Amino acid sequence: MNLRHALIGLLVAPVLTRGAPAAVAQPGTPPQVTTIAPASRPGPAVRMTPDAASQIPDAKKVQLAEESVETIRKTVDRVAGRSDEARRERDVGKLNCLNAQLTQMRGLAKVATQASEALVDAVGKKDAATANTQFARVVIAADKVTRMSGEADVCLGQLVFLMDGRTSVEVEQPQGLPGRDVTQRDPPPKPLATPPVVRPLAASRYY
Amino acid sequence: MTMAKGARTGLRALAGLLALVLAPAADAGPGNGIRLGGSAARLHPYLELEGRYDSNLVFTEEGEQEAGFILHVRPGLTLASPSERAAVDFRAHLDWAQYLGESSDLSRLFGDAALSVGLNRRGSLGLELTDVFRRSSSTRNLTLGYAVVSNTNDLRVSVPFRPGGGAFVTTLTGGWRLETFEPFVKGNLCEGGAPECDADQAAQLDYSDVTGGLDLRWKFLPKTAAVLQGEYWRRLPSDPDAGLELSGYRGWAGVAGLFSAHLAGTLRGGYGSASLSPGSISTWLANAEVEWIPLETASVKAGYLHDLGADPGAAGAYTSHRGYADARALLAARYTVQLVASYERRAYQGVRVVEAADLLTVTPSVDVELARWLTAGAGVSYSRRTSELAAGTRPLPGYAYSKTEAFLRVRGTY
Repeated sequence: MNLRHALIGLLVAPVLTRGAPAAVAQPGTPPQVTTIAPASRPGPAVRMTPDAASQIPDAKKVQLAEESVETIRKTVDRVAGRSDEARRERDVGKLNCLNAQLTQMRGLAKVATQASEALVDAVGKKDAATANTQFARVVIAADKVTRMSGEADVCLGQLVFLMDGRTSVEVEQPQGLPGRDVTQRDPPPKPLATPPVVRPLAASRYY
Repeated sequence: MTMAKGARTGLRALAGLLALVLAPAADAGPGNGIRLGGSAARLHPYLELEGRYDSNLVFTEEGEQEAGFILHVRPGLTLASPSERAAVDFRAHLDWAQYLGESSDLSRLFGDAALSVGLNRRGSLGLELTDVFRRSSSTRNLTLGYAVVSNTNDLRVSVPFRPGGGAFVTTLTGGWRLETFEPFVKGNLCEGGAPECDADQAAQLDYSDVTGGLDLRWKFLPKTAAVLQGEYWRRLPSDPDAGLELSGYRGWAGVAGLFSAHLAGTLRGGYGSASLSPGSISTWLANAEVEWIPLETASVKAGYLHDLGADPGAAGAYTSHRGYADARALLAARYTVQLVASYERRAYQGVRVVEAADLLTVTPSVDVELARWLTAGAGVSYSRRTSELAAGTRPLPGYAYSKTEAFLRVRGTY
């Protein structure tokens, strides 16, 4: 199986639900499965296992890992910005929600960075098993960060406000309600008259 | 025959409007408007259709009263940008009034626009600017015996000064009101060429009013204030030969605001004077108003006003008695029920065409919010005008008439 076939096989594999918890590789357990679905690159998700990673050339693994780490960093920065805005707005509920996600995302970012560095070392040492494992760790971390980013967006309340992250409360007062400043009480304006249109009369019918 | 044809056309128009009202609302999500510049400003374009039946629309060449239908098409927009530093409100619409049937030659383009800008509304020194333009077939002038198209532009600037917590507010105001007239139908309406019958002379009644005032308001309770107000005004006719140059002043003192948790009102008294050339009139001023607010969404108001003013032309200044009432309620968050009524009697001074004029209007209406973007309304308006004419004034139909108008309107707002 050449590289192209391996990648196609990865791309057409069934996509797991994004909300499903991604397992962490443990000795003696079946191969773990995760997906690659960076938020900045919408498209088909890729199921990733150490075995599947073995089908990817080392240079490609390093490149994908670096891209995933960069994606993680941008995502963490974006959520951190929302957290700062929530802090400025003194919105405690939103701040707590965002910070809960942000703490885990920063931990995963650290894991991914370390795994990416270990991947580079393993590739340099021609240690294929370690390289595959570290690559899978990077991809798992990227998947989790992406999922948590979506949950952080939910903290903002409505996706329509994703552009700036600020809470916007609009109150539309129906027309016709009593005025609020009751000391400003000018009488209503003068009444308007709409007299009938008077056409010029025929010669013998003047008013 | 003509009436029957007009009625059929009008009924078809109303039926079309009713069908539009009853049509299922499309769930396209309009009504939220267009957000501008990422700020809180929001723009709402809208289109309003109104069908109106008028029982006394026109007096024909044969001197007969004739009813008719008018279809109004009003494209417009509203813009609201609330802000403590600079709040902007703008609304405007065009109004094409299509007269149906034999009166289609009376179809006109009207319009309405209002701009309000408020700067630093929570600061100690603010600025409020409002400008209202209106082109309509209605007028405040009760000295004319025929219909006119009135164009008014009312500009007001006020500078409120609120030192401390705003318990004492001093407001300087200035205003400029310009009104011009166009005849609906050109030509002389009477035999012998009496000036009050020459519709072409309506254009000579244009005038400007400039005003300056001072408003002192002391809120001795959070929602109750003692007020002291003074105003000077001057009337500048565009044609000095057709209109009198007037000036006058008003002074008011009283209280306004909440009297109890559900009772608000105004009790003011004062004195006013207007200088004519020649002569002058002076009179007492009074404004008593009480408003019952049983709920946040309902109110009933009734009041009385004794004031002085001036209509354009040679009629000069007048003193007026006015009673008014306004009741409205928002029911089930969808239905707005409203009743507006007023009666005013003016006694004219100076060179008289009309010695006294009375105008009664009663308008009950209901508006329904069918969807967030779609509202419909219906109502009836009754108005009755009577006049006491000076000797020699021709009794044109516009001096004494009554009419009943029924309307149905639909507005779709994006």
